[in-house]
Amino acid sequence: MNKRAVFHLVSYMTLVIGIAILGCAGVSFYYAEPLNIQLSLVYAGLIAIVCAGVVGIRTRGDINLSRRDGFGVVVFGWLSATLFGSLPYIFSGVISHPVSAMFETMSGFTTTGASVLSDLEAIPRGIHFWRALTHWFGGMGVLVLCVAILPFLGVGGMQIYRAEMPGPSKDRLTPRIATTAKLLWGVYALLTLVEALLLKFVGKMGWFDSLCHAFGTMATGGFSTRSASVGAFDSIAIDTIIIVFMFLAGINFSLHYHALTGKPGRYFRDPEFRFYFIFLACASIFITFNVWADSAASLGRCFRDATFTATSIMTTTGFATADFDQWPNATRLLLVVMMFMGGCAGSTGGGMKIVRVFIMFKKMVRELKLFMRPSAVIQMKLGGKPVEQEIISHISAFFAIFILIFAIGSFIMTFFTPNLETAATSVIATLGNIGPGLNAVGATQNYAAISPLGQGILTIFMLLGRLELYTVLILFLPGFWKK
Amino acid sequence: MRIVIIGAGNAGRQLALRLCEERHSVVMVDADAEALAQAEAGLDILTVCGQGSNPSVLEEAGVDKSDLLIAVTDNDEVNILACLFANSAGVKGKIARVTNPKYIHGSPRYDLLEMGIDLIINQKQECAREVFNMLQMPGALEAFDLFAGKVMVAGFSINAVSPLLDRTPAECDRLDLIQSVRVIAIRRDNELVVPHGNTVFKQNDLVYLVGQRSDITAFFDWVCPDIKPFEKVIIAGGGDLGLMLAKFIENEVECVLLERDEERARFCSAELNKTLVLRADSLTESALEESGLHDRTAFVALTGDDEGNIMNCLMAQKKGAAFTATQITRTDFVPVVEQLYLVNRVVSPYISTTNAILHYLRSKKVRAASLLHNLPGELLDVIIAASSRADGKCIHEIKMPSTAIIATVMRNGEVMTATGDLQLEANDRVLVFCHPGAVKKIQSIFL
Repeated sequence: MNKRAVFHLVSYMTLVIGIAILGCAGVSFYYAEPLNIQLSLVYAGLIAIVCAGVVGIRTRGDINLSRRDGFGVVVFGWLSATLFGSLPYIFSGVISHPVSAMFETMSGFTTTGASVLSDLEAIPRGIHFWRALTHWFGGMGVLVLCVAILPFLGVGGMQIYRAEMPGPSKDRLTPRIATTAKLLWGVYALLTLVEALLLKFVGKMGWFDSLCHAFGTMATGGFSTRSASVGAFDSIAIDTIIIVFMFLAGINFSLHYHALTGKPGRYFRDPEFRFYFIFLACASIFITFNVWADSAASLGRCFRDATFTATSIMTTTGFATADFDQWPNATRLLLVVMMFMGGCAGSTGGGMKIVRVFIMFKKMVRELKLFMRPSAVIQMKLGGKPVEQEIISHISAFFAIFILIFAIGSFIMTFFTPNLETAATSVIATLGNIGPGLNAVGATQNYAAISPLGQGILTIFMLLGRLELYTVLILFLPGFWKK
Repeated sequence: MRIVIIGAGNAGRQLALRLCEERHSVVMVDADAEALAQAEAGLDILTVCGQGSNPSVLEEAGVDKSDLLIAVTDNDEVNILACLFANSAGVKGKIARVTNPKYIHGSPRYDLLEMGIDLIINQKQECAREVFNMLQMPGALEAFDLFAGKVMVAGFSINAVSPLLDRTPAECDRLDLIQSVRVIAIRRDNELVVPHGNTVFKQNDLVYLVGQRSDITAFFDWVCPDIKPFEKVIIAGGGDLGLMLAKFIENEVECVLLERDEERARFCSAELNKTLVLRADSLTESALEESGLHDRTAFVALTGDDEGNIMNCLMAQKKGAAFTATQITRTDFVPVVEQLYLVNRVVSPYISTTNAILHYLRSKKVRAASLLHNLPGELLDVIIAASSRADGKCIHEIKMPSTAIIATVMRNGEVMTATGDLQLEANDRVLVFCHPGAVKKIQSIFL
């Protein structure tokens, strides 16, 4: 690994983080919050900028990234962002334990939305804004942003893009990767803006809440400014807007780009989108009736909460309007299955990604057919195009590793949590970047009760999930560090 | 600019590299997924797998949105067809590599240019001409004419007995000769050195000069006095390239062509007039013996087999050939062969293709651009525009990028030496050597 070049790029990323924290100090200043809150944000921002500057200047030189270096940049970049991003929480005293602060920051950047904070109404707005901003940066990826704005990356940009963007195959919108990154961030920023405006003017939210929720939705994050999450607003308009934008955030962003450039037909031609849409619709209807049969609430109310929850969980956002932990077991199990599936490839959602599940399902059918007719030749196709053998074996390995990590993680978490349900769902909720799980980490609960060591372990799961396992795991191969 | 390149071979990859360096958007199309993956690993490009002559593949590559299509597959028909489709899709520039000379028919009725292809490149012919120029100038490893023959560019390497060895230009005894030409670039250990007043010449440096033909010839007589004109040229391999070279050279000097295949040898013999065609395996001692190899012979290996070519040159050197050159198609071999000084000169056919395409790409005011063999730089031929930054300034007043150097100036058909206090005027033709990254900067200075 070319350590100099890797840390040079990491310093750029840290610089972006530092500037963003200073921006939050501006928000804090605007709302005339206590001086110590403003100063804690200023200090945190300045420390990040100074460190970035020193490292950046000391590691100057050519940037020639190999594939391996791309992985290094992404993992170390994320670790550095989490380290410096946790400073505002620590300095302001909002979260006292450093590991808990790292948990909160990593949960932000990985768009998980799992929190250790219980009384959100008591938290200063500057800190809230930083919390929401970590989501927004992490959703499309800070490094993808760097690829878009740093002109000198060239081929190196592609290595980084490949390591940070989710999904088994990375489609390019344009020949140059920097332009592709710019377009994706452009679409992302545009959708966020539209949502914020809708929340403000149709949903009658304040500017502050509308921005924070827009950041949280488009990144499929899930940090809210209220302890009761989106449920605190209790507005049909707000629920509807957030459902629609969560749904959009779970779609492959290159489809949005095609739609915005006049090809909306691409949505339904994409098999992953069709599967996503149909599965989500069926799940919402099932949950509606399952919950309705079990409670005294009206069918309309049940439909609203069921659709919101199903979308929130499937896109791995983690906003809540109802305590789904109180719902029937069939629904709860279905929600856990949806946690595993996650959003589409190339979206900001987490989980295993629908295209992987879809391809694995097709492979299963193919294997069954082969059992019956051993000499049959069956080429797997997706959307009419053959799927390369390499991608299929890549996905099989991904499945195996994902399940293995889930199993080992659940085992470890049994030591930190009161019961099996909590242990297992805390792992899938962090590994899939969802946020809320079931039982003691359910929709109305949080992660504060888990000890710092347990939180530290979950922090690693969040990073593993966001960077889709391989990027992080490759660092543990001894060969990675050798020339 | 959005550019579609059809063909992920040597020429395609080299072009993509150059074009990416200049920040163009490049899409590469090839039917071979493996070759594409290889190209994509090192380049910031979009790749589309499929036959380049297939309209749906072209559609997928976004030809309709592109400004230029370059077809450089091995297959002439695919190249031509791709360009014709691109023409009907409204692409502004279409460039095709066409190897078979039969397609380039004299009559306007069958003219490919009339059919909408803007530039036809005959790679083999360009390459044969390059080798021919080199052989015409003993001692030179590269030589070509510019400005309609008024100016010549030549490259030679510094050997152990060179009068320039370990000296700066000012320390040489023949100052008059060294001042009549201009040193524009030095290749040292595969690195580009832009020379200045106190650059010391080292052994094995490859030095590039620009000057008038007579001056360059006089300079060469001084620098390499021991090298006399070749009396014989032996060509191994009677493929398209070897045959073409033999056609060029047979009128100038005695030429022997070695071809293993009987039928092909017969065909070559029918095409050629003065050349002695031998049906023999050039990799045998007896064949070299029979061809009459002696110490004033140049040996050029142009078969399709890289390893065989290299070996053949070594055998010829052992026999006493004064000069050896080999064609190498696998680009990975080139740096090794050059660094070990196994042969005098490596011939890479795709360079001339890249060269010709870069010529075409420069704006109209930049008249020509040439690549030097395996050196990251190019020669730009610019006409100074009135009211440009260079108009009316002395050369030393112009702030040139550090990787660029003015080689020569031509005014009213006269070649002027580019000294520091020469005042430039509008409509002067200036030849500038520069690093690819500095091309835009140069254009902004002179245009």
